[in-house]
Amino acid sequence: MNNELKPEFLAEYYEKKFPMDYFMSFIGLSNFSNREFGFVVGKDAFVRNISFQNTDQLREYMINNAVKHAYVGAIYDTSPSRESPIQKIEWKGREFIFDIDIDEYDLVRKCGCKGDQYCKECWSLVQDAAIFIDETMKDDFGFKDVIWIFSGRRGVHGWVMDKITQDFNQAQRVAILNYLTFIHDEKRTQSIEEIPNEAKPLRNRIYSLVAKSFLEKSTPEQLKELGISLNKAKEIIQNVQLSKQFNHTQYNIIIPNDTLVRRKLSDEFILRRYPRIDRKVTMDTRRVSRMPYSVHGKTGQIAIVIKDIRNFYPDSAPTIWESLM
Amino acid sequence: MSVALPDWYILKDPGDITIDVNSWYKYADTRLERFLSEDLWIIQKPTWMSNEEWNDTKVQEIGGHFFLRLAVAKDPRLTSWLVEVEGDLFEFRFVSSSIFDEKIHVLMDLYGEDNVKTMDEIDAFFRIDIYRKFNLADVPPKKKKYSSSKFGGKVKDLDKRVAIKFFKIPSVVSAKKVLLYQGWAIVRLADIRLAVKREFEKNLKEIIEKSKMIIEKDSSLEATVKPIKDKIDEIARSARLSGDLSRLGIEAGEEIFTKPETFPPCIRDLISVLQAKGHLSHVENWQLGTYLKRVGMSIEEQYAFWYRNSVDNVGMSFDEFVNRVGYQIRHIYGKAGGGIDYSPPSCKTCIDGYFCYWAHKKLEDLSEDIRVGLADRNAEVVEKAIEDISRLIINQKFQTACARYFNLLTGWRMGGNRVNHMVNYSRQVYKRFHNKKQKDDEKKKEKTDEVKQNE
Repeated sequence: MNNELKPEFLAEYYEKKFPMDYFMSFIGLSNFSNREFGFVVGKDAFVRNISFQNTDQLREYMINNAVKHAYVGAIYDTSPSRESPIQKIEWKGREFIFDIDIDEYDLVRKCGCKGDQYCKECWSLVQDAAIFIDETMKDDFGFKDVIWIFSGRRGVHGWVMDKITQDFNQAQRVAILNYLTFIHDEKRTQSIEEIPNEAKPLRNRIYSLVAKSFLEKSTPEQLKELGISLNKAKEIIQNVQLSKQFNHTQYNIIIPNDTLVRRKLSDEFILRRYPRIDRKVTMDTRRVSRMPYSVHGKTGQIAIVIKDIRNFYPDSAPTIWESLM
Repeated sequence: MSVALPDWYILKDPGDITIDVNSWYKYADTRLERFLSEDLWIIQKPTWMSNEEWNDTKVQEIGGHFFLRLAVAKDPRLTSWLVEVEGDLFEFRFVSSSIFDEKIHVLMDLYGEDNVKTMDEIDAFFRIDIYRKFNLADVPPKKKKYSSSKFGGKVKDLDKRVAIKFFKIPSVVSAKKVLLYQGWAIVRLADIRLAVKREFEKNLKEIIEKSKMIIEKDSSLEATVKPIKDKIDEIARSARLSGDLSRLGIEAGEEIFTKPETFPPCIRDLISVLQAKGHLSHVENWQLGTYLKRVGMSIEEQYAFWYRNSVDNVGMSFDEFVNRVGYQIRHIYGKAGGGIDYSPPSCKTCIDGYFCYWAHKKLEDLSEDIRVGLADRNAEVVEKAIEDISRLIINQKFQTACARYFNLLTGWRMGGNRVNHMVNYSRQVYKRFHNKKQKDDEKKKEKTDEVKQNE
């Protein structure tokens, strides 16, 4: 296998292997010509404000330019172009997307990985985040269809496919993000917001998913530092590890009924394991996102659809070289 | 289901109604007087009133309001004033109406019939008992701030819950004051009170915008509404002008604008952005300009300030700058445009549409700014304050965050624990420093006298 990402490989991938139909199922055909695309081409030049009349043109562009990275953006009232850049035309809609990257957890990763590095231990943070967001989107917000895509390097993107989200304005997108956010100033102070009483389903989900994940990986000594006696800590960890479907009721039974201890504990598990979302991707309505099934220009990996996030590990994602074999 | 809207809800379609501009003028005048006396009132048919009299009352209500819409339609500033007072009246009526169904119908009108359900309807829709499923009995109502004297204690059903599609009330979802279930936000009326008021105000503003066409087409109508328009103009102006320098506790001859240590964080940030980039957005120009005016900067001094700091002056002489770019500055001082002597916006307005340092700056950036700005202070104290401020910002308590910053900076507590106006912030800082200086001077004088006596 030649691991150099030569332009001819990229061209061949987009000509023969790129599943245009599958890609189109993400963005739909309507208003295709008014949809913005962006690409990294040549010597890493990033070009935006590009649109196509049909999918053949799109494919042709990707082949002819051997694009290293391919992005899809929002829909506008007219076709974006250099003459009609997106700042000058009216925004009409965009998909609702979450971006979870492993490097967002750098301050709390204990495995030694940093930046783009990942291992089975820290990748579980991304998996937990995706599961938590997926469940919240479906149970709390009532969305039916959430698809997870491998970003091609160090994270995953969650596409909420329900049509209604396309029309969400920035305030509505930010509202969903804020509802999900408990860690503020994630790269510095990491202030933890108190779990609200009124938002019961969210609270219950934190106690069942996030708390479980934290507790089953904890040592009794770690819990002791939070004010729980060593014996009680052992009992809690054993209980969580043995429980097949740990939920908030069990949480409330096994955790000591001491307000201070509970607050310390919840602050700790939110800090360590709660989803960290790249806010800009979700709230910026004019942002471009990696095209599903496109090639990541740095790793050569393909941004595939993840069928089961619980069993997905980045190394298992196919590469352009494997695809062309 | 047809929605039966209450008569006090002025966005309700009035149906067939005869327009009588002359008597409506009188109704509009009466309505203005009531707004002026801050007399919030609800209209409900008293048992003793005949149907005919009741119909007259309703016509007075509708006619007065419609006339006011027409009077303000062409002036955005007067529109804002009317939207604000009608918004307050709506809030009072919504909160104090004793008929729960009325509130539901108003919500349906504002958010769309399909987007609002009662708890019974939502339970039937999903075939579950949400109250029991999520054990809502253990979520006690919060401290009843809303039953304050503002509503004369007339608060009804605000602890009751309703279901609204989550995307209709983003601010409430943001604050996590909701139980979200399958896309429905189950909320207490108390927690959506402000969101509902904002929605009402937004709708009213749009309707007034549409009324503009009616006025533009009919010049005689414009002449008819003019006296009322002038009256509103005067009221709005006096409301904005309430407070000159002496009311701010600033002594004549004291130029507070020369004391940047008294500037609130929003103004300091706007000035530093202006100095770095050479320009601000239109609303930011307005905010900074009206602030500087209110803290004593003369129009000539403002010309010099903007000429020095903005990039609009490239290749332009000062006189050219004054002529060509100075229009907005003259506007602020009432020397151009409508001749209105404008006042700086309140904190609430800044949060909603101008620039609030705490609401609009990224938490990371402002934490860093505070750290750098107070590098000479005890790091532990600063970090504690940043933590407090972060929590307040997260909970959208921007005015309290500002007060906490004031406390960190000066060591004093801001009255009411919140900042309501940027000029008031300056006043407070000035007052403290001024009093301190006065006391220090007095002490010095006493010491000197003592020494003299001893000699």
